[in-house]
Amino acid sequence: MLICLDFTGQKVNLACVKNGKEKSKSSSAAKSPQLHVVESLEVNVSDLEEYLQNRSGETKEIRVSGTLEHTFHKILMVPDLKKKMLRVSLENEVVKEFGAGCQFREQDLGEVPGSADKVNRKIMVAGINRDALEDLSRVFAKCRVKPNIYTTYPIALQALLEKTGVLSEEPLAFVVLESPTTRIVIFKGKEIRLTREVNAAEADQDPENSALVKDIYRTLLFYNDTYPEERVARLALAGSLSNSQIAKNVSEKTGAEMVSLDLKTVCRGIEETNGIHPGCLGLALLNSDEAGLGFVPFSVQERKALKRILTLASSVSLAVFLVFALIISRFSLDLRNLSAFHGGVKGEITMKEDRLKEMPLEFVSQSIETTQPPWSEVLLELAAVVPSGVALKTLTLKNIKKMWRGEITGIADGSDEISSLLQVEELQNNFSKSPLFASVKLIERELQGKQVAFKIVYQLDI
Amino acid sequence: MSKDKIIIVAFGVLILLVALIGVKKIKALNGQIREGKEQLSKSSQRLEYVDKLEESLEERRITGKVLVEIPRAHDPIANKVLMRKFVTNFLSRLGLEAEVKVDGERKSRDFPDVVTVNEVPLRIGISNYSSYDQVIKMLREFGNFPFVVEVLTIGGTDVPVPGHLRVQLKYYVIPKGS
Repeated sequence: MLICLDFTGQKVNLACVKNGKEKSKSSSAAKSPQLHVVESLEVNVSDLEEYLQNRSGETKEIRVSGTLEHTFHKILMVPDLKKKMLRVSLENEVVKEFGAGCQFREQDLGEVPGSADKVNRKIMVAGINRDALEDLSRVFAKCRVKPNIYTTYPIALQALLEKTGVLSEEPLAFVVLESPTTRIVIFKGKEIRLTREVNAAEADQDPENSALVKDIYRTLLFYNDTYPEERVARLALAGSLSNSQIAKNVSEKTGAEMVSLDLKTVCRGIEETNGIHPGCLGLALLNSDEAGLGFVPFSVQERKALKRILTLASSVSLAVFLVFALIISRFSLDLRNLSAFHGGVKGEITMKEDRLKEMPLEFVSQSIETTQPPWSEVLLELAAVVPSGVALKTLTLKNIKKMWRGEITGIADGSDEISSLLQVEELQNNFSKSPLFASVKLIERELQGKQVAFKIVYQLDI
Repeated sequence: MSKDKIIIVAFGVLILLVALIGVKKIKALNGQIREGKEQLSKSSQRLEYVDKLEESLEERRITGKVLVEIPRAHDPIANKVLMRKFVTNFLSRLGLEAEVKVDGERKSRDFPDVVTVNEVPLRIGISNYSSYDQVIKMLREFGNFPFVVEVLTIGGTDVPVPGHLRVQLKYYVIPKGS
């Protein structure tokens, strides 16, 4: 159920509305008006909380329109600027006109020719006093369902006129006759041109409502002064005080054609509720998706922003946590797999080592074969590399850290010193050329008369 | 400070904390994985080595290419005597007169822990060899037993035993019950 609340009067006008399609899904429901007015009444602000709590279970949505005295509407012409700059420009204009303590929303009414070749934008701003909006918001502090639309009274009326097909590009005055205040709003298409509140005289002081009629007339004259090229030729009356006599008097005085609103085209249940308040009906008819001129109190905005930040921060934290959890679980799994595989390899090694323990002699045999040089070849090669005239004094081969290092000492006995030295050089060359020896170095060479004593070290290349 | 800033800061701290702990944990896991891979690589190499060794030893066992062991006694001193006599007789059969010195048996470090092998260090000093061929023959004959030459010197003094041809070697012993 949708509850529409209008705060323009001393009491709160209230309408409970059900969506026709919601109520019945039969084919006949599709042809009947969409809204079904369940209840329409006036309640004191002090009783509102209790009323809303009683209706809490079935309430799906609440819409609110604020008091006229705390709202404003203005058509502004501003240069065609980029969105952000346009917003700043509008803000400046609104602050200049209505002060800083208000919230406003704007509706672009399209391009209009400006000075020279420039194009201006025609923008309607609708605003509401910030404190008044907060006060309204506080009324619903304890309610389970919070209002999703706060708007101004004329905007609600505009929605009603639009849905009933009365609104056109011709200026139209909509007069809501209520006691003690009558409200006059002049529309032109989507523009809300003028809003005025008139205090009606007591019925016994002015039985024919001539003062009220005059006020209406003066309002139209004021409009004509403001917009000299336009004339309000159409006028619609609504409200609890409206009757045919007043309509006739107003029509005669202003010369405007009286337009009647066929509310049955937009809602049902009017007879039962004895006339729904037009502001409430307008609120019900506002399309929530297109409620461009709806306001959100700053406190609610702050709460929403806080909630948004909280949600975003929680999501980011959760995402970060999940990412890390995923990475860690992946790594843990890898480590587990690796450990399992390693365990398998180790097991296989142990098994094979156990088998090797059963073959120690083969092990020794293998070791000897791989570490011992081919003695026959080595000794024969040693004999082969020694040239004639050279006598070896000592020959040593040692296994040092798995490397066979050799050393030979001897004497070269040539015909003279030179030939002895050449013999030593030949011996060294023969060693170097041999595939069995490596790192050959002549580390000592000493002349002893014609003879040369020498010492050569080498490695076995096996 | 406004509520939204407090929330942002609090969640920022929380995210930072989660990130720090997460990064630390990931680093630790990464380190463990790296270490595990290194160990696995070593184990794989070891497995490959053991595999090849097993294959080679199996082949050796099948082809019957095994060494002849010298008879052993339970007493270490008797073993020393047995060893000296065996080597002296062995060389004598090759026509070589030798002085043989036998040291005490000890655990060999030439083999991995897979098998337990002991070694008996030996020093042989020969003074009467007649030809180079005799030396070659002696070394070839050593190959039939679990002897391994460590130092061979002709005319040198590297092995402390009297003789012109000196050999320092080890005799590998497989302890009983290993």
